[in-house]
Amino acid sequence: MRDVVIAGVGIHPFGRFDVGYREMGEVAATRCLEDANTDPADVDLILVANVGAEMAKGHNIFGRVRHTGAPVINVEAACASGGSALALGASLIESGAQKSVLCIGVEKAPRGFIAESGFESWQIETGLGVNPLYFAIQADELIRESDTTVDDLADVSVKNHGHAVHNPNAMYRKEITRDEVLDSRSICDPLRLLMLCTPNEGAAAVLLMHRDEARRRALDDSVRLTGLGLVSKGPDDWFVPGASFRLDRTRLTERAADLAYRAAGIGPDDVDVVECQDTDSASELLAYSELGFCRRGEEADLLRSGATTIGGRIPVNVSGGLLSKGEPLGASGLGQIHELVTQLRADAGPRQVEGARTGLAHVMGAGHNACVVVVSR
Amino acid sequence: MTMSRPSTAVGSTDGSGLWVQAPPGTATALLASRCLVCRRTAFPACSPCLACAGPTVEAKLVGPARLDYLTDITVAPPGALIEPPYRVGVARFDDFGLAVIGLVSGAAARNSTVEPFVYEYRPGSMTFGFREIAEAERMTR
Repeated sequence: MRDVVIAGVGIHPFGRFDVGYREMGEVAATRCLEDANTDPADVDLILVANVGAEMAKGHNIFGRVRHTGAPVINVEAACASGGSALALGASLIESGAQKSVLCIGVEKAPRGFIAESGFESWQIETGLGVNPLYFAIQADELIRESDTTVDDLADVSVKNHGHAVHNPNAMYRKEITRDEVLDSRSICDPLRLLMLCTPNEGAAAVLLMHRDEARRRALDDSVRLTGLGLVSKGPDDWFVPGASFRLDRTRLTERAADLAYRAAGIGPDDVDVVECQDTDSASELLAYSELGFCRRGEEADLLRSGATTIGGRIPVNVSGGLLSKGEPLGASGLGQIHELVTQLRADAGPRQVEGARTGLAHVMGAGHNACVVVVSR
Repeated sequence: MTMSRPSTAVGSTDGSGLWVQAPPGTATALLASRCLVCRRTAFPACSPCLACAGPTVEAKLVGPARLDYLTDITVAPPGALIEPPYRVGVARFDDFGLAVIGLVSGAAARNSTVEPFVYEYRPGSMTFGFREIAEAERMTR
């Protein structure tokens, strides 16, 4: 992809707040348009990613920004909602169908378990509708099939919380220790509470613009969305809420990553900084191999080497990831783009990845959705 | 044969398309489907095959299977009718290339050999579960 400029980004911090989703979405959208030095009337299309709010959610948000007459479309794909909105917007711009698309992601998730992840009623009523169970099955499999240990799972959380100390938009900004993670309550073996992200609240926005339009407006066109891979369930994929899985199952993230790398004309070795779907600690480790940063079975080695910590070869979740920011489902994917753009602009302060020119974002959601995005400068 | 996808199995005693009817506490078979074209086994059953649209036939998943994964659930998820604590595991049916997630009876251990059985998870409500085959043999004696 050559013509999709990220003209601006905006964020409402992730956490727990006394305001509604409309206000949070408005804050992110307004900050994004200010960042892009673009008037709301110059946006051709608004895509709003959200899972749990009311009908016409995007209309209710942008209705607080300006009544421009531009169409608003709501996008939902569970935890991959933000990535899906971004993918749709980028495709419309690359094709020439739109000049500017504002993607807004927002969520005000209730506390506790995420309900209604697509389970059949028999799964819910018999107690199988437990999201962390499905992550734990993957975590356990990773431990059985590689030298990954429970300590490694704890260390992913330790790493990401260490990164979040320097992110003012994160929910949890305190360093934690391996023992604190291991001593936290067991949710589904081997996952402890502090190895899982918290569904929470927040918003993020990204303004996409065609390169020609950005130049015509004399806007900064140096940060571009150059690669995109969006996939849903194939014949042999498995994720929440699947009741069974094939022993030789395939991986959605691998397919999405392959598409994104091809579109960008790069490989994993060209990536400088990563924001990936660390719904739980094991999901981050699995992403290391599925995104091509190591071979299958070498995930823990990559973590232990320090490569995925800021200062390492391929820093992952430098924002603190979902483990530290929390996961406002509709906003999380666009929050990743906010972080990558901040990094590529060299505006990330103490959590800056030196010389970052290529970033990769990855989300994965219930119902079998994965989106990988490459952002380059 | 063709089978419809079950909408619910809760409170039923006939398996509602998920398992073969049997009294609570006895062994059963999970009702899967096998595609005549791509040979994939699917659970719950589907017709036609959701992978290749080929015709399917019934396949019954019976033990022995291996309990690959096991965990205790201590907090009930939204909408659950089962009372925690309860146990959930993954039973691996190597002959079918398939692993199934389900409730596990109290005595089963990880890596044990298990079979599907009719699990009365609250009075009058059945679902399928997995139990150690040794446990079933003890019950038979």
